[in-house]
This record gives sequence, structure tokens and C-alpha cells, in this order.
Amino acid sequence: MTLRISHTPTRSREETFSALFGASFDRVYAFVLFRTANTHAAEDITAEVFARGWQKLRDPGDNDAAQAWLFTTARRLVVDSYRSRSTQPISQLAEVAHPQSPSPEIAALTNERLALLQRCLHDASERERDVIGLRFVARLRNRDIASLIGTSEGNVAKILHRTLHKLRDRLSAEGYRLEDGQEERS
Amino acid sequence: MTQTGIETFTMRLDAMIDRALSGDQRRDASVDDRAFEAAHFIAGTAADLLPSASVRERVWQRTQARMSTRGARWPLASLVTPSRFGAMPITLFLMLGVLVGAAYAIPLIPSIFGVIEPSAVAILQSDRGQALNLSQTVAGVTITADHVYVDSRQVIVKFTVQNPPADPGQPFNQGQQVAAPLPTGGLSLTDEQGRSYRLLHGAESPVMQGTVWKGEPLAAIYTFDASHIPADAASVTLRLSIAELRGVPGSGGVRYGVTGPWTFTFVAPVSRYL
Repeated sequence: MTLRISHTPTRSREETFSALFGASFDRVYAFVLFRTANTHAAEDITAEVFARGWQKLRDPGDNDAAQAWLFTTARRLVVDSYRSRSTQPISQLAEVAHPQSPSPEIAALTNERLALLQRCLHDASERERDVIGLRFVARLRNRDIASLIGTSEGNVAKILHRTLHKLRDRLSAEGYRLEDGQEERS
Repeated sequence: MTQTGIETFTMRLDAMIDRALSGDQRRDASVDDRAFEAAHFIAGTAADLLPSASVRERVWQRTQARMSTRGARWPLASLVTPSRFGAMPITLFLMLGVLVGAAYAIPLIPSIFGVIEPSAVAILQSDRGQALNLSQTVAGVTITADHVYVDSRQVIVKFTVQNPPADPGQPFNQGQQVAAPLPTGGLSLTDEQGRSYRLLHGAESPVMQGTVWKGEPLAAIYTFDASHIPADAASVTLRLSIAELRGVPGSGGVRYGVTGPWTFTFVAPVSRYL
């Protein structure tokens, strides 16, 4: 994991936890939003993840251990939320995440891409979606993902490669093309 | 595939994904095109899931409320660690945080300044802050630290993001490289002793300006807790660091992050007038 939180002996637990929140919140929230497709659930689950972290993390300044614990807990709470919550179309997420989009054109494109991603990952397994979310949204390294989901680093790469191929095929079926660095919809 | 082959494949795929996440659209012959194209699609889309400053503030308040009712399983950690708060009971600290958070949760001025504290704008508009005019350009994006104001309660910093004069920017984005609102990542304020100042409020244009954005330089005002500053300090040396900008539009409305950091070190006088 790339982020480091400086932890000096003069920092209190409150300050260290606040720094952990600042360094980790965006990625935990985005990962939960990616997995739940529900902004209200994402806010609620993320708050719960950090509240439990406050209770249970022995040393919030141990960044590697804290990050692993936060994403493990986030994954568990996401699974729990499936049993009790309904999801909203991911096409609504961009509007909520970026309520002040600079132009209707960009907002529409953003919504379209998020809806397309949701459709293309619909047939992916829970593990495949977890790996994609942890690598691309949470931006964890493969070795950290391997540790989180209990497999080898090489297997994480295989899952990523396989899921990317599936996604590309679905994008093609949806009429999406990316050529020479430029994206086009046919 | 041999063990060496697996490791090579893993490294190449990992490097390709890193480049996709940084917005680098050059193809890599060592990774097949299908994986490359899908990786770029996800990387561009994932950036739109990142939270705004108001979401960050709202969830932090909700987290603090839950923290105050549960307590830490490791409460002794804060007592054995020397700190400014010393032996202050942890519950009193958290109750104070919840009360302050609840006060700011009241939507007094919801549409004009977003989650920003209105007094921060008033202070800067009344020229009580100190002009900095420190600019730094990283990866073609220039950030200027414009103003700072410090008193015993708060540190207010205003900065703007603008294209370098020779860069025409993105035509579909009002001539700007960075889209509005201005989502920043890894924003931190520290002092010479390495102490980190806790972020209290923040807002970015055009939320801050309350008007339709017409391509003017994007601005942000952030307020930090100043409890680290000694009561008798006449000035303080601070270091503002912005690790990443996340609203850089690419083709097809994709938003990429630009990795900094942009860092500014400055000395600010501590105001005696609250």
C-alpha cells in the first residue's frame, strides 16, 4: 500500500485516527460505493467501518495493518448490506458524487460510463468484482489484495486479467470502442 | 506457465494498470489490447466514485457520533502516549467533537458556501489574511497558494488552480485542465515539528462561488484546527501539501487524477483578533 501516515510518539490516538481517516476515507468510500451502487449505503457503511476501527484497531498509526483491517471490514459490511438493502442504479451515482458538474455534457457522459460499467460487471462473480474494486477503486497493490481475499499474488493477477477480458467483451457487445487512445461509441 | 513466467505476467499487468490509473494512454505491447482497453475504461470511470468534500465531512461527523457512543477497546493508548491533551478524559474530548460537529451540521447557508464555514470567506474577503502568491506547476497543472490566515482557533488557506499561460486547456472544459468542482486528494497541513493539523472544513468552486462556473480559475478554501499552535506564538511556519488532483478530464468525459505533490512552505503571523 502506498499511503503512509507519520506516527510520532507525540500524537494522541485521536490525532492518529483522524489522520488515518483523512488518508483512507476516499478510497474506502469509493470502494464501498463501487460495490453497493448506493450512495446512502456507502456513507453509512463507511462511517461504520471507521467507527469499528476506532473501537478495535490497537494502533491506527500502523498504516499497513489499519488499511488491511479497514478494507476487510468494508467487504464484510458490504456483504451484510446485500441482505438488508436495495441498490440504486449506478447511473445516479455520478450526479450524487459530482453534483456541481461543469457541464451537462460531462455529467451525462459520466452517468453513461458508470451505468455501462455496472452492466458489464453484472455477470462477474463477487470475488472478481472485489478484486477489480480493490485494484482500480481502492488502488491496493496485488500483494495486499491477495492477503485480503486469501489467495496468491499470481492468482490475483489472473483474476484481474480474466475479468478485464470479460469486461472488454461486454464493452464490445455494448458498442463501446477504444481506439488509438480515443474512446468512441459506435 | 512457469513461476518466472507468472511473475513477469503479474508485473507487466500491474505496471499497465498503474499507467491506466495515472491516465497514461500509451499502449503496451507486453499486455494484450483487450486488457489494456478494459483497464483504461475502469480507471477513467472509477475516478467518478470519489467523494466530494461535503460527503467527506458528513461521514466524518457520522463516524464521530458513533465513536462517542462506543468508546475505544484500547482506551489506554491515548493515556500512555504523551499529547497536548494529556490526561483530558477521552469522553469529554469526543463529546466536544460531537457538539461542534452537530453545530456545523445545521444547514444555515446550504447553497452558497457548501460545507465551508462562512466566517472563513468573510475573513479572507476583509483582507485579514496574508497574501502568499506561491505557485508551483506539476504535470502541467499550476496551483497557487493565495492567502493564509491564522489565529488561535483556525488556519484558513485559499489556493487556486489554473493552467499555465502557454497551455490552452481542454476546450470542452471551459479552457481548464481541471474540472469543477475541484476534488483534491491527500490534502495536508503540517508545521515545522511535523504535527498534522486536522481538517475542519473545505469547499471548492463553483460551490464556493455559488454561481455557474464560466471557466474562471478554480478556487478552494480549507480551514484547519489550530490547536497545535502555542498560545504565545507570534508566527508559525506551515507546509501545505496537495498530493493529487482528481478532476482532470480526458477524452469522452473520463476524469483522471494528476499526481503531485504540490507543496508550499510559508510563515504566517498569528492573529490576536478573533
